Amino acid sequence: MLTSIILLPFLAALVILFTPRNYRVVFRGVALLATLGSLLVATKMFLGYEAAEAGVGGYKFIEKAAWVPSLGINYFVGVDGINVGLIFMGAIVAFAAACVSWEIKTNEKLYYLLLMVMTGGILGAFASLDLFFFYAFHEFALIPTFIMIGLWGRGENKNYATFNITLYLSAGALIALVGLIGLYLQVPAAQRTFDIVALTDYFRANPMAANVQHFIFPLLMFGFGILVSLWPFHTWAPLGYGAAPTATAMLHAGVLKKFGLYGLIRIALPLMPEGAKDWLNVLALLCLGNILYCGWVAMRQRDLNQLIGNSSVAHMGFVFLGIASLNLIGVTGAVVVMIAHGLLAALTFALSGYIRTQTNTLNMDEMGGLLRKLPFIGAALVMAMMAGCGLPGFANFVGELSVMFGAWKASFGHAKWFVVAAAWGGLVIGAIYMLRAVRSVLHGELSDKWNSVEDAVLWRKTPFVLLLAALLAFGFWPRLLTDKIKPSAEAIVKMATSGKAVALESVKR
Amino acid sequence: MFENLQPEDLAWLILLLPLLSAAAIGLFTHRSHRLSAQISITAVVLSFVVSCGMFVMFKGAKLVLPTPLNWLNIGDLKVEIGLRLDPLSLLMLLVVTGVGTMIHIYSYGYMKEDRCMGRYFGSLSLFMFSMLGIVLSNNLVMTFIFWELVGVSSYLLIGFWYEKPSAADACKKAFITNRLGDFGFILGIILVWSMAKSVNFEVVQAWINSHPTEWGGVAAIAGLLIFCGAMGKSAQFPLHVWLPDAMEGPTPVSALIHAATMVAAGVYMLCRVFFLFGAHTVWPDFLGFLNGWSALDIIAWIGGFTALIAALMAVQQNDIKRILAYSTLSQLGYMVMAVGLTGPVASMYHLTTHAFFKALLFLGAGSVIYACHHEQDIWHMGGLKKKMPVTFWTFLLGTLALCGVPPLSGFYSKDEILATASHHSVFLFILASLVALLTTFYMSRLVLVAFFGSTRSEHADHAHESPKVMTGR
Repeated sequence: MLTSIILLPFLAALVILFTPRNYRVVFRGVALLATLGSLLVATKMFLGYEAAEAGVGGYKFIEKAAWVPSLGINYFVGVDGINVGLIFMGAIVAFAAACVSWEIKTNEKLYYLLLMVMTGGILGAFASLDLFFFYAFHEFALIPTFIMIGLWGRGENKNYATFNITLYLSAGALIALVGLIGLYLQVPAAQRTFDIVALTDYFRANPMAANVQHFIFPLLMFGFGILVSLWPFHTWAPLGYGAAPTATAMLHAGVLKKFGLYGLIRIALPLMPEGAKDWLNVLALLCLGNILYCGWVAMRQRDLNQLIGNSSVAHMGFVFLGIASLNLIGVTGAVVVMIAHGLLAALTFALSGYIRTQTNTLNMDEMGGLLRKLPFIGAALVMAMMAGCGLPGFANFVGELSVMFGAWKASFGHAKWFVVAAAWGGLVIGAIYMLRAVRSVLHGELSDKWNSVEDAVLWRKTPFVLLLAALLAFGFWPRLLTDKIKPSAEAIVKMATSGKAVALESVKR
Repeated sequence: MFENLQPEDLAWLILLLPLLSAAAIGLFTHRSHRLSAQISITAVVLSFVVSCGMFVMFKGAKLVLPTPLNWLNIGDLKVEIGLRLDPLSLLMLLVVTGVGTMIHIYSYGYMKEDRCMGRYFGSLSLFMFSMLGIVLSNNLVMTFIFWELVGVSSYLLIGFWYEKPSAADACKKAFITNRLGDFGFILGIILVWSMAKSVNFEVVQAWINSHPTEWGGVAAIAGLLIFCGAMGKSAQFPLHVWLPDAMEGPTPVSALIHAATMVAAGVYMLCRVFFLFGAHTVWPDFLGFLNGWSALDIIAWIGGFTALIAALMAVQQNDIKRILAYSTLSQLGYMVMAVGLTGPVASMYHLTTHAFFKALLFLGAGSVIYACHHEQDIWHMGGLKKKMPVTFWTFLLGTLALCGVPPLSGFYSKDEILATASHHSVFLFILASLVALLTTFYMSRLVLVAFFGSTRSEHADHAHESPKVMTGR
């Protein structure tokens, strides 16, 4: 089941590769079909998750095939409560991204080829339970991102943005790689494996020495952190998303960026509880940079994409805070924010992309009164902005609420003041920049130059309706997500908070 | 699924009907004016009927809890979407659905010529859903959820004429100011939860009764943080700034949301969580300068100050809706002061009577504005008594009730608050009496200038009585 979700986009890429370059309809049709297929299978998997039988390590829908037996590398995929929602969200965003790609009019063959490789890479990275594939799939998704921004990007800053995002993300991926290799080498040569389940079991039985953890944990934290735009390494994000073509921004900000967070939750926390105990204080401090500083920056933006980009960075702060709180409520909340923000980021970038095709600008000072011409897009934008400032009814609220409740009980120093700051950032700063955007883009008097602006026709509404429906469904029935996440998060929190015992054991040995 | 259905589970209908109406209008019928209006009005009338049924069935009962919905359940964080029927919520249900029904019907006349009537009724139904959610809620997080939804429906309705820059700015201001209050509110909720391990009103109250000393240490802070939410919604100083600007919305909206129901939500919420304030107050060290004051004292003084300052501002306004808005502010200050003086009963009494007479005044003002072609300056009116007799007499009745003239309802409820004040604080009693005098002054000024004398503008000259659906003739 998981294999077909991952394979469909790659197969589509292959078909596109062997299709003559002027068969535009075919590229688009194949891409839409493949992502729709992935989405349908992913939906079936998400809905059937509870009923499915759990395999090794509590994972479900496991599929395994040997790849390089001599090095212990297997193709090994499976889901638990944490990545099942992420994959489902990723499939929704992938289909939506294929839908909005109609705006691309040049060199479509290469574009759709890269889009499909990126989609397949993203879905593969979240499904992999083998470190090698986990990392390789991520690179498969990352490299098309750079190329797409470079070739189909827009704005004067396009080249600088490509340069910036490539450097930052490659550096982040590299630092994380060093950490992962360090982790791999901690296992004695005879038992070395890339199997995440086996690694988890091994380190549960034989905890890593505390001093090694102190060294490896920050490598993963900052490496993955850079990939997620952890303050102060976030500057690539608004810049890159401002320049990226719509579908790329949707896929990267929505799904691929969550890879770093997923890595932190899946690998860094359970395997290195001692490292976590020391370094999560730092993470909690830095996440205030995301929530407050990036929120303030977003308030000052006059370009819609820059505003959304900065707000997306700010939202990541909530996930970091949830992870740093290191308890069941906080970590579950963090995963919910990851999924909710994925849908929301995709939705907002899709909307700004649509507005840009109509107005040829994203400068909010030039816009105004567009709600009159764009009743559907405008209503969707208002809903997206409201979801972004944590309105109940949307999934984001559930996540942010749980993160705040969880962080209140966190053990790091002054945790309560962090919650105060997070509430200020989420409720007040978020509302200010989101409503300012609505005020400048949609409200006010309509200028004559926007007389030719047209609202989305029926089939172009599809991606927006799909993303909004998912946000609302998870907002109204959060237990669709939390009941799946809870048992898996509990297991991870249990391993991550066993730090004391681990330290003692390693001293004894 | 339905075999365990109890009669009280019908209360869910009160909440769900407006939601269904909002969804149906938003998704399907917003282009059709008449149909949208019909759906919305039907929903609120049915809600009112069911509310009356609930009131009759359970008016003697102390507490009835229809089957709740397990909404969120992560570790210690358990949140239900559950209803709570007790005398407080049953009374408030009647106020909200009753005033709501009247205003929905009135709106049908007032908004007839607007080309976005579908959107108007959709937002109105969304508002009814959110407001009824606050009224029926059985826990703090659910209250917060619907609290936010009320904020957003108010945002949508204030900014209904979004092309007018003043309206677009006003809705933004209202939402952000409310958010400032909600910032304190959510922290207060988290604080209560972290102590009592629950957000359910019943459970929290039981915990407080059994752990008075533990609760005493945070009671004052938690109480004031939750009061922040009420300061935002009920527009207490210094978060009162949004309410006068909110008059940019259509007048029926001002009547329903910004006079009768939403702004009263803060007062209602304070009465609902009044048990939080019972404990002996101990301030933490960094707030040591507050020793000798209780949280309720602070609330009473903020309420009293708001009442006075708003009444003073009302005296020098010329816009008919702004005069009424400042008057609403002042009366809300009254109610909050009454809660602070440990008189939640008096406060709820005044809330109820105020909801009716203030909605009446706003609807009268709407009728005047409609007749004068959207002229709102009272100095451009005059002599309307002869031209609009129904509006005049009903407006006059509302004014007399607001001024506290017996035997109208305002007299009894205001008297109750003044009596409470005289028992607890002489200073606040004098202040409240002064506010009552000011109220009489600015309302008489409004009535005399707008309805008596000679007409002072062309619009007023051509004014004639509003259609039947608005006056009920």
